Amino acid sequence: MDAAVGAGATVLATGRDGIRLQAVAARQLPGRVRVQTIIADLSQDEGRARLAEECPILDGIVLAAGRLDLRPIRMLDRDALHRSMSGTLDIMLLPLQALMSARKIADSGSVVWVGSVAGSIGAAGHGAYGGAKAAVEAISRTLAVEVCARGIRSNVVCPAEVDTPMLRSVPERGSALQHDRRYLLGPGRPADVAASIVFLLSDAARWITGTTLCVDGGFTASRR
Amino acid sequence: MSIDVSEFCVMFAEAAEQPDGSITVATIFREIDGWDSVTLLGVLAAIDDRYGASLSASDIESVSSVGEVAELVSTRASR
Repeated sequence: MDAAVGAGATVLATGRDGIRLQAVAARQLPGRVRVQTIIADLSQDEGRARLAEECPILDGIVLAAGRLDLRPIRMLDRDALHRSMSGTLDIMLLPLQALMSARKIADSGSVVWVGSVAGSIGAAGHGAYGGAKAAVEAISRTLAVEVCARGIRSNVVCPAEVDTPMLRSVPERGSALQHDRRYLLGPGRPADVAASIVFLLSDAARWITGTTLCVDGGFTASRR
Repeated sequence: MSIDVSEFCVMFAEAAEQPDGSITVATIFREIDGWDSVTLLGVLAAIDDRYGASLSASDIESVSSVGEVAELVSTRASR
């Protein structure tokens, strides 16, 4: 969000954690109202409906949500699978669907989804999460085809492991990351991923649609 | 909430794909045959399913025996 505001955008942030949203919005310069918030639980019909109603027309949207429930496939029963899928795929797609249905995505707008390298590599425990993120890439490509007549673009940014609270909860990864030589460029930060998202939102990416930008410090390319 | 320790060991053995009865409170889990990060994920998932307790990476890094894991779970268990 800081990257988007820095690039000159007015940002609307939404989610169910009102305290965190207000804290993030408060970090912007006072007097320059560049960040607005709508508190809504996007996992619920009511939250999505209210977002669709209150939301202004958007020139860009970033779909960034995910539920990192790591679990080997031999333990991925129906309940665990559905929880993981709904916490990762539904939570990105359904709010977009509600906004599109309410005609809140402007012509020539840009849709950016946050995927994951887990969608295209085998990482233990990431069956459901990777499955959902791989689904996002297919859905984004489809969307690119469906909305191109309106000049709307859809792309996916795929980060690898980035130092966030979500990663630090993964056993043995949070601390191992610093020394993992598969990251050719060392550990990544949220700002590294944000910069790519802002690029895809911007007119600099006007000829880019239906693709995936891998922002992973060289992880998927490395053979070490 | 206190948990039944012998039941915990049975669950642990199953989650770690070890023979029945092979896991006790004294077992050092990192020394279990074939133990790796996938095994750990399986055990954590089984603990969450059975006890409603979500153990973190730092929780696990701070203990060594199955008994110590059981103690952690008993402080977090909701069922």
